[in-house]
Amino acid sequence: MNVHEKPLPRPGDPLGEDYALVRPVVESNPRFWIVVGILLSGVLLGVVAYVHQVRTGLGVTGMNRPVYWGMYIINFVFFIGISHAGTLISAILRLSQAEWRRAITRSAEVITVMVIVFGVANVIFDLGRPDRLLYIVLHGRLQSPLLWDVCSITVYLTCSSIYLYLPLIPDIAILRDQTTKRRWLYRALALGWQGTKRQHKVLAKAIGILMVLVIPVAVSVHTVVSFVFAMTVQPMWHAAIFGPYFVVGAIYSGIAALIIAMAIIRWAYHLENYLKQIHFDYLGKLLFVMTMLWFYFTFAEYLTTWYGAEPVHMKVWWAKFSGPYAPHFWAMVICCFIIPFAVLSRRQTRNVAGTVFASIFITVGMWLERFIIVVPTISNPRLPFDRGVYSPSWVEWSMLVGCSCFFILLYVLFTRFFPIVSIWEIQEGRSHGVDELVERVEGYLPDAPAATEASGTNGGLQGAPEGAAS
Amino acid sequence: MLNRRQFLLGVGGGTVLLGMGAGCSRPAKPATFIANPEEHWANSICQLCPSACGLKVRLANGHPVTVSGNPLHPVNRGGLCARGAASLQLYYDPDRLSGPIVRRQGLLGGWGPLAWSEGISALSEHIAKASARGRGRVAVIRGDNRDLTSQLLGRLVRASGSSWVVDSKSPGERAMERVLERMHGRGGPVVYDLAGTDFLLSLHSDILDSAAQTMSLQRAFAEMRSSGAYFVHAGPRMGITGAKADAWLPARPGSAGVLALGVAHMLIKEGYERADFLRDHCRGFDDWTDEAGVHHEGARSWILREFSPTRVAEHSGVEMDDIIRISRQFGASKRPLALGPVGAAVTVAPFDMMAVHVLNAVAGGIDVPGGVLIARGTPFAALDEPEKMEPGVIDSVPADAGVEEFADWVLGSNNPPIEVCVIHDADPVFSSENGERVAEALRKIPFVLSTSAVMNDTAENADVVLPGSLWIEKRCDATGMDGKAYPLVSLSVAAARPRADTRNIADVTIEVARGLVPKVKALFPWSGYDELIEARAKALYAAGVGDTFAESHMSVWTQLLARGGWRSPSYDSPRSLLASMERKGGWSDPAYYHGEWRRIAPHAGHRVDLEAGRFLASGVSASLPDTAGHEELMLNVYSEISLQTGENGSLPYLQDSASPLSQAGWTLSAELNAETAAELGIAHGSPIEISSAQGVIKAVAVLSACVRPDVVAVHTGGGRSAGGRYAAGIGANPFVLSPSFSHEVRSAASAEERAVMVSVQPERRA
Amino acid sequence: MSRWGMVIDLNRCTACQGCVSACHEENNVPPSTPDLSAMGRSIRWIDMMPVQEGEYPHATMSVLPMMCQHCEHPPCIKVCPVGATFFSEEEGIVGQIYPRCIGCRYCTTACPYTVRQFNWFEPAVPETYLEGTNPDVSRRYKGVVEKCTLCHHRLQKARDQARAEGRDLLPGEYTPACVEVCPTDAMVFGDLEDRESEVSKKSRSKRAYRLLEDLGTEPKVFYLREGNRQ
Repeated sequence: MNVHEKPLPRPGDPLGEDYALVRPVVESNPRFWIVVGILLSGVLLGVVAYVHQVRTGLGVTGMNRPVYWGMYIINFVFFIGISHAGTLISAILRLSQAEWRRAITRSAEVITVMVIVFGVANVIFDLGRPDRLLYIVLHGRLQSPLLWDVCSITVYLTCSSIYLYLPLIPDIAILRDQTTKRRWLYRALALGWQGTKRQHKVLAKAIGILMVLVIPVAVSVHTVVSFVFAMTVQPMWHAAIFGPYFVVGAIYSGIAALIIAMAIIRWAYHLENYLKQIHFDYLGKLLFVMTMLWFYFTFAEYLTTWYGAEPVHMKVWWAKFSGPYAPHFWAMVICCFIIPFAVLSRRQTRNVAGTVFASIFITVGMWLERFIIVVPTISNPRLPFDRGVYSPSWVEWSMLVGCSCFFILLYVLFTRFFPIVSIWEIQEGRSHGVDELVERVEGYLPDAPAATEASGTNGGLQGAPEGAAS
Repeated sequence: MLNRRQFLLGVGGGTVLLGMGAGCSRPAKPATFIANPEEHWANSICQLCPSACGLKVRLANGHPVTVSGNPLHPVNRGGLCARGAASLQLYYDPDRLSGPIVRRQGLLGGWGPLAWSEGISALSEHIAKASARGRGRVAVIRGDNRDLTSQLLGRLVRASGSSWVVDSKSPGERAMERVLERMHGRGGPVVYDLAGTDFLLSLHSDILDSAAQTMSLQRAFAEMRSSGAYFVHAGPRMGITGAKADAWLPARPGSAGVLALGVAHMLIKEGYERADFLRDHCRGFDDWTDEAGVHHEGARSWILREFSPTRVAEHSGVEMDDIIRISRQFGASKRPLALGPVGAAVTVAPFDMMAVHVLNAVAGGIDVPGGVLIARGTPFAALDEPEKMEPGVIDSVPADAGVEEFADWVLGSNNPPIEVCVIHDADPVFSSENGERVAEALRKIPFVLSTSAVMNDTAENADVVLPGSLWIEKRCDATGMDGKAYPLVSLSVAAARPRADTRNIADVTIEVARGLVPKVKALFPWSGYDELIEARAKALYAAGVGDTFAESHMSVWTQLLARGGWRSPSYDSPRSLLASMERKGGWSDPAYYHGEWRRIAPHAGHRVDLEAGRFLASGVSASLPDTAGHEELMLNVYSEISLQTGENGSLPYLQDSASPLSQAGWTLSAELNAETAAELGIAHGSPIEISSAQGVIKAVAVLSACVRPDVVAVHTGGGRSAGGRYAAGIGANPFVLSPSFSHEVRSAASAEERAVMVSVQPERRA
Repeated sequence: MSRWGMVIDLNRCTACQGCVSACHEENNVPPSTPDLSAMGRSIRWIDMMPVQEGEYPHATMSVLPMMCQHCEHPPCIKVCPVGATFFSEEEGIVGQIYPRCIGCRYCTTACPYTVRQFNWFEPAVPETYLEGTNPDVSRRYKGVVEKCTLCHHRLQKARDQARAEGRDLLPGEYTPACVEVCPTDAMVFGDLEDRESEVSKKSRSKRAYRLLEDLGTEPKVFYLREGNRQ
């Protein structure tokens, strides 16, 4: 970030036009309690299911021999994938100085921190002996890819939390100074933020370091998740493509989740003025790029398997294309490619409704993709026997519902405690962004000795999506 | 060079620890188990099948914990099959009867406890009353007569003036008995010297899937395979037997006999028949004219006329080329051997067994190494042999009466009523083809007593159950033969203490008999089983042959000595014989003398009568049911080796490992050809219904390329109505589908006449 | 150092399942139930696996006794996050430590032979069966993975015996339950390192092969190909 010249929001300044951003925090709303009630009942269902599972054993799931991994591992990969929505996208947008990021980074970062918890939780659900969870620390073996996951995800969660928290500090300070609710909390969390120049400098520097650090960590997280599968010798798992394939899939599902979350926030808190059509259009373009990338990786994976035609791999391949998992596979193709491609490739449909429509299908499709990666391989082991078919039990479905509800609940609660659109960054954009951008664009242009005066306030450049094209 | 493992270790070690303090610890080793239970081993005799293998039970602090084979026992030489190895589950069966029970007479029914003394006196009284009223009113249904307890029970019934001593023999065994009776003029048992053959042709002989007497067959089979013998299996279903064969011929059900004579036809036609053997040891092969000038057609002309490869191929569904090829290989082999159906539950007809025996005769394979051996008997007679006792025979009782004939008799209106029936070591309501009819018959009998240790299907129809001790709970014995047709007697002391209020049924029988009229009492001069054993040991000692069990090389030595007229047994008195038998597991006479034709064919001329065999061929001309274009399939019932008999259903290990080819324990799996199933719209593993005119059963479809398309193959062993948590209601019994045949059909006709047509469809959901 | 291994002669094996019963009896494997079986959850340390090939009427079938192959380079051990499964360098046996296992089932998934078993429920063993527990083998409980240990407790006992008598372990003193009970002597067990042992000789026979040899796991269970084709 550049050093700012214009005055920053100070304590005591009225929020004025940005009051809409703190309204959810300060005003109570009966609708909120209804939503919380519904979500809590979903969470309760999950709790009941888990208690039943802990008491009875993992036999209450649909897993068997040889399908030793099912819904929980699928959910783990899926949730970790969704978590790429936030920190990674936010960091890339910040790094590329895409000005349109200001309204969306916060909502993205929150997804990361919240959902990653449920990714980890699903691994714990999958344990036969959750009481021995600490053995992973006490007796951990770094030779196991699961330990790589533990390390990588821990680092990612830590980085992401800090990365969420740091840009939140100025906003917390605003809440501390300009609202009356929960002042003790905001006072503690604001860490004495006064908005001095030096504090801004330190904050900008810290965010700068974190956003560079968080990108490789995020990539490593999903690569390592894929390694859990790719490091075994099982057919159609043991492939080098898995690392990048999982990362692309993660970002893909992450952006889709972000779009859905943004649309809901926009609708529920009337933030149409902040989360504009243009944001959805740009994210839609990004999503379209990911659609193509996802298809490219999927195509490459299945074509190489089919062309090589090794029998053990083909057994899995056919199980997906025309066997017991064909409905899942083709539903995935429709959800992840055909619908998004049709919707996102056309300007007319790349609006709020269109991108949300596509995103919902992508989210479902990416869950199916995780299913299609995990289950057909283990139900078709190398030796020609022991074939089982897996379908999840009510317990596993309840846990998915419970996790999803819990995640949404946490997200909703966050919006009731903190502004979900960054106030200070919006204000900063308003005060500095345009000038900065002009300055930057001028910096790109060849230095024309005669034309230095011509630059000025070219409003047409406003919002030119540097980052959107990347 | 780095291998993958070392590389991974390197990567793992080199990874920087981020965030969590996960240590890279070495995997721990389990602590050595430190426990010092007081351990000892005891011999016993497995009685879960007629093999009667020697057991070695390991006891920790007095509890039997594991079981392995007695290495000295000639039948199993330290090995065990699935049943023997799981047998402790019967000892620990949570649903075993805890003591004698009696059927309550009240409205509610059910069972009440009973004292042993009351049970014994009730049996005594009923027998006394019944035999006072007339002959033939007491019956016993037994598994076989291979132990003294069964023999005592047979003796008791015969002494009470009845010849209803019914052994629940398999159809195969009964058919073979009939064949031997006709062709050799004697009874069985026969032993197939698989180990010595170099070409084995199995004609519907599911030896590895279904054979009742598993141990010697399995061991001989392994020897045969290791010696390089070629093995062909013909049958509607490949099964384990076909899987272990070098070639499988998918033959229609019931075509064993026709196939056998088809091969015999080719042997004769191409000059492979053993002319010297046929000349020296057979009768009725060539045509002859008797003293009255009547021309008789011999087996040769008959076989050549009736069983051409074209006709046999049409009949059996086997390709003609295959029949010719297999026949030539069979004929060209040095010691070929054909096996007829041996399964315990296969619908076997005497014609099939006769045809296979004729084929073996044509190939010179009777009483030769690698051929059919007639087992040598033990040196003393069984306790229940009628000729040793005052006969109480009623003419109308068929000589080979089985459980079905018994049921016919009881339910027949004009027969003198059977008033007392004892059931020992048998579960005919479950295991016979017409179990429901047997149950009906038992319900008609006023006093039925079962000695089963668990509540089985037959005991459910009894009035009193006096649970006998299991073999490891009592001193017990078994008489039998091993895979080389050597006679042997197994003996063991009680290995473990009884887990329930049970008694040795031998003692009970003696006690009952001694409470009867003096005539009967005189036939039971022993105070109890122990005294009987001592008497038997004296007889065995006096016989002056054989020796107690020893390692196999020692047995060979004993045999060589015996051939040379020498003998140096390891005992010098009946008492030391007994001690040595109990220590080593038993006694055997490891010698078989070929060429004892007086023993092999006791009837006139001491030849195998091929002409008499033809008598059994009456049903051959019956045409096969035409299945082409029919919706119906032929039912092929084979017996599941581990579940077929006795209390085996109560052993969960056996339930779980049943039908290994379908990988579906605890259920009835029905093997269907994949194409047939596709036509019927049936998927692998889906529930189906099999229905015949007689009934419907539910099964799980197992799709396979190893079964004929016109057949559905199901196994017995399921569908018990009693037997505890691990047996009752598990699976289904395919005998529900078979009609009730008359004695004539059962005993003479070819199996084709007994074909059961069924329709198969996906299970209808209610 | 020893390399305990096994050769299974498929010509001699009759799929009688004596080994299956004996193994389960020896190792306190809980009895299954119809429900467990229908879900494919019966625990079987050794099992008969049918393999069909070809089309009717020319189809063929083999029945393989399958148990843990005790790979020299076991894929299951690499992936265990807590070291609950280990490879004994001096014995060549792949072992499992139940009190350490967290039940993540990564090893069961990584095993290309799918011979590892999981306790989906608390084993339902009737009281009466518990009296017949083999005291040498610990019982398992809900949520842990278990598998064939080549009757490792028998090795420990035999070695303790030999040590007490001040001598080395003799060939034949250590035999797993399945091998001991095999009625047809289809299974041969011993030290593969000892080139003169029967198992070592047979493992070098022309009929010998191992399952999924191309994976480089180097199993120590060898099969001898069946058939006496003319």
